[in-house]
Amino acid sequence: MRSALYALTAMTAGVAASRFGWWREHIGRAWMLFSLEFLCLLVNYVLRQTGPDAGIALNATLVAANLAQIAAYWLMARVLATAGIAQLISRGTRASLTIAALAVAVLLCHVSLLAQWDAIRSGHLQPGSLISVLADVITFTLVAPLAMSALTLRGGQLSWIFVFLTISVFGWMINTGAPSIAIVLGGGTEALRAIRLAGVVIASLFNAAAAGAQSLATIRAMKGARADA
Amino acid sequence: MPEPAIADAIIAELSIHLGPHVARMAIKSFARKVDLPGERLTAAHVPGLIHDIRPMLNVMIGKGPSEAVVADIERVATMK
Repeated sequence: MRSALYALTAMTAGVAASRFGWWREHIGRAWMLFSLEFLCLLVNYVLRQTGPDAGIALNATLVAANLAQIAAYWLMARVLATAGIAQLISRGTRASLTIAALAVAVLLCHVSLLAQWDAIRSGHLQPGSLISVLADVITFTLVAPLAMSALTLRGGQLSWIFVFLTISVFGWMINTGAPSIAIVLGGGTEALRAIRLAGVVIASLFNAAAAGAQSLATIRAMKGARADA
Repeated sequence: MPEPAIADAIIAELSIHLGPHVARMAIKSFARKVDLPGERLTAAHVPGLIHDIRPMLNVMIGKGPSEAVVADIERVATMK
């Protein structure tokens, strides 16, 4: 199931990127990186099933997926600023919401952050795990500018892209917070696995939905949105 | 007499993609820039407005689609 989800999202993000000339435009770069992220997640998942001893390849794909994820969400979170309309949201609102999101991110990831801190101090640092935790913190913090973009563009076709991306970040939050959620729900290993999978399903499907909304918005604009509406 | 209907038509066109909030802001910002009271755009202002909003459209919806949106804006502006 995971491999199908990763493949679907990599493909839809790739289609969206291709509409913007892949690397040539700001939005194209973001979708190309989302596509790369899910492609790396797919390879990582397949490797884990077929060759769990391929340590270097597993680490490399995990690091690449996380770096691509950070860059992709960062580019999407910066769209309003790059377009020169970031001032539509006051500096104070932007700062306070981003700080609030950072606080939630640190709270959600504090166990992993402490584990990484211990690993650094004991000299047993694993780059893949460290980057994975940092990617979670950064991505969860970026939920604030993504949600603000959705709100600013409300009523327009482009707002759906940011709504779906915001929900996809919540999916990753569920995936990361799965151990705590499982404890609250009183479930065991099976419940933990199901919650993690639910998080991945939400994150992947809503990322694919955002890519689909992006492609659709482009097609409608090219055709003449008024005639199509 | 300048036609406020041109501004309304362009806002409606931009709103489809960017939402009414951003669309209104784009017109207001341009009106302020050319010292135009009450967003009373005329057909003569449209090329300047397009020049002003094109970079934003390029980033938000991409260079190709933004050309189509600009063509739509020119079309609705000439119809008014």
